[in-house]
Amino acid sequence: MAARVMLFICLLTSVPADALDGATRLYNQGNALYKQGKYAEAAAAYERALASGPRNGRVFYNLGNAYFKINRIGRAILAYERAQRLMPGDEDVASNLQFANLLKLDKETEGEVNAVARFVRWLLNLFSVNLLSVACSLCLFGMSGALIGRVFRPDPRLRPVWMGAVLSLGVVLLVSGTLLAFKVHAREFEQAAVVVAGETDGRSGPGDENIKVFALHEGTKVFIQRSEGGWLLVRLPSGIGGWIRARDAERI
Amino acid sequence: MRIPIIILAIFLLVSSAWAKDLTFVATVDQTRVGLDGQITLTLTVTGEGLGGVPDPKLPALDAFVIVGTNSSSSTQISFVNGAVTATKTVEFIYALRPTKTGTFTIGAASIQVEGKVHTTDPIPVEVVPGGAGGGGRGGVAPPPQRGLSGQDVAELEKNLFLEVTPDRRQVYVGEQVTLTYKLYTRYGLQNVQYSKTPAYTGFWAEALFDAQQLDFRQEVRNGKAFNVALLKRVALFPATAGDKTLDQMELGCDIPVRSRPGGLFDDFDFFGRVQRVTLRSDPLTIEVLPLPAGAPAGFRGAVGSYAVTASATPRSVAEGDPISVKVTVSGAGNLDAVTEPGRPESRDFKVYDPKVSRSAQKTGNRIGGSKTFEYVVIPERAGQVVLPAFEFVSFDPQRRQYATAATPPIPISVSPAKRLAEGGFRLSREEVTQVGRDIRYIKPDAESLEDQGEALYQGWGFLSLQALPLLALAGALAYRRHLDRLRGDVAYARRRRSRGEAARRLRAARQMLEGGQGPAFHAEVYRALSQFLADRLNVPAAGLTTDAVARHLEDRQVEAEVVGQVQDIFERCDFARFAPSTVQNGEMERLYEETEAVIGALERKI
Repeated sequence: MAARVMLFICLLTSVPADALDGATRLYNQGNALYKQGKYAEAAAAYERALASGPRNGRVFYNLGNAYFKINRIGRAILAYERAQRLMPGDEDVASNLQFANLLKLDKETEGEVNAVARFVRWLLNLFSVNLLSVACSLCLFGMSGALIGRVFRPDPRLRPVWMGAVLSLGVVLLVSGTLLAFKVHAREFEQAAVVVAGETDGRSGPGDENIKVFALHEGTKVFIQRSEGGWLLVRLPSGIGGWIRARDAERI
Repeated sequence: MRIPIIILAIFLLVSSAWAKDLTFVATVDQTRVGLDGQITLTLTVTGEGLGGVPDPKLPALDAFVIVGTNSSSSTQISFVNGAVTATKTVEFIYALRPTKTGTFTIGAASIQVEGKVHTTDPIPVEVVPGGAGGGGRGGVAPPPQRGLSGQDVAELEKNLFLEVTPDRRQVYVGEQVTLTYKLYTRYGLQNVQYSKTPAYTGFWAEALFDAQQLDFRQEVRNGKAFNVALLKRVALFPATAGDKTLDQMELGCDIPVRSRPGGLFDDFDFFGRVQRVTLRSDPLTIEVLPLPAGAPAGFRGAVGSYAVTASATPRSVAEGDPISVKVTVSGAGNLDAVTEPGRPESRDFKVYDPKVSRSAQKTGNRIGGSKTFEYVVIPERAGQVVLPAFEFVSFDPQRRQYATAATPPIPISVSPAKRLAEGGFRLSREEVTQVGRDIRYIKPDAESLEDQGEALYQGWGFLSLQALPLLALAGALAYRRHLDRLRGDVAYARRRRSRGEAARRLRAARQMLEGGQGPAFHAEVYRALSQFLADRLNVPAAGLTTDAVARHLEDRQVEAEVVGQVQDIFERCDFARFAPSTVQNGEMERLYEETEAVIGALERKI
């Protein structure tokens, strides 16, 4: 059964072979430029690789490094955030994102978070959506298998085996299902963005004539509430909200 | 006799000590009066612990005659920190009538208390022909007040007004100008409310003081005593050059009205009638000068007097280790216009963008404070290196010139970065310590890049795959139920088995037919049909007669034709069993087919 699932996943995630080759070539080209210290050119190569081919965390990670080296912190943080979405649990990504966040102008606005919230965040970053999906699926198959076994082999000596399997798989399903629900919700409904312009003003409405309510700098992460005519209503983790120009920030 | 003497001595001691705080003030109710009018001159003596106050000595009044005098005295006792303070106020009131027109001065009055002479300030008074004084405060024109005559308004304006004073009328762009709004009144006011507050367009405004309640103080102005309340004080920083006219402030208030003709406004009112009036401050123009030409490079618009300091920690580091450099710009001026000081150009250091923090501060009425830029600096060369000066250029409006403040150069000693592979093997083992920090290196080249963008849950295939285990479980449960029923429910079991049994018997009959065993064939066909019927009807096969079969089938509404066929087959089998030789092979073949068809038909019916 597991073999069939894996085959299925392979079918779902495969992409046309020709696009893959071009993107991979550009990616390797970018790496060569990076090694020569031509960071701007390397960034351009990675961007082209992403434009032509698959969304891959490694490319975003290397792109973030290239932007970091030419001091474009906003772009670097955006690329790291994207890489983290695709490769949660990757230590390099987490480390560089944290380091880049230290160098941005705006202070962390999220404030102090308690140990439980930190643990949940760590847990959420540990597994990818696909890993959790497969885990849930396998639990479902396993639980059904155990129940079928219970139906056809109702031997009282075997009963604890079947029920133990069902219960333990059920616990795993509950945990991974909850994590999956959080991740899917974040992916589908939370519209996060990173400020990429050097500085942008938050205004009370969509338009330059409105009163300036705050100023944001490169690299700051915001959550998009809605958009209107080239302006975005964004909320900061601290709760302040305001309209910024859509071109000054990019969705993760 | 001794006790009164002691009391008197204490009294004298105390009063002589307190008499130092004595004030003596002269006020008039109006400074411009008609020849037919009257001026009230009030001399007020206030002091703590005053004893008897002698009548003051009036100056020579050439142009006036005294038409009436009066005096009143009041004492206010207050307890402050357990100490009792008795403040006594004595008022001497004189009604003066002018005798001629012209400008006169009511000279200084004097009073001698405790052997010390106190005098008042002289008051200029103008006497004009006619009745009331007329005229108003120059430039101020409160809006027409409903229900008031022109004369009332004139009197009102003299005794109740809103005044705005700038601390200077000519400033540079970005220089602070402070506006002070004061309310002057000689009436008791109620319901004082702002009806319009200025917007200060073209200025960056910072409030220095906003009155939460009216806190009146006595102030003498043009010889008249006013109650004065400070309403608002605001610091403005003009953004552009040119003559800027500021919005007027408007204030609404109720003043008590006395219905007696002549005395229009007074402090007391038995009937509580009030008049709503609106006050407006003078229009005010500030001349904003542009900054002089010839600004040095590096000037970013900061106006004010600023000093720059810098500190670096640590002063001795390893190559590649970060140094924290704090550059603080502090002084008086608009902090928002203070930008990052010019970074020094140096190949010895790499300077990262600073973290900026500010702390605003008000010194008296001046806005100021400090802005700190915290840089991360990485030395890139080992040895004794000097972190060059950070320069901050500002315009000093007081000295009317540009000023450049620079931090002193800071010497840093940088030791070479430790390299582990130096000099072959190491004699002593050392713990590896992190000496610098950078981002982690890029990921290596790839053979192929998979698309990680599409998530499994977004594909229908994966979702429908999840139905499989549920379907399998449902199937398993259904099958289990079937098996249980076969075991427990005889009727169900016989019914489910009947078709298979009949088919098996018919196959056996077929073999007998082919083997030429006529009687055995008929017996088998008979058993196949009767057993099938018994199983289907859940009755014992042994007692199943042809009639019983017909009855059962009719009960179940089987067509008469099929019932007839069944009876026919049974009869033919019986007949063949008793007279086997008469039956032909072709007939047996037909019987076999008919039996098969009847069983098929019966299976659909019962």
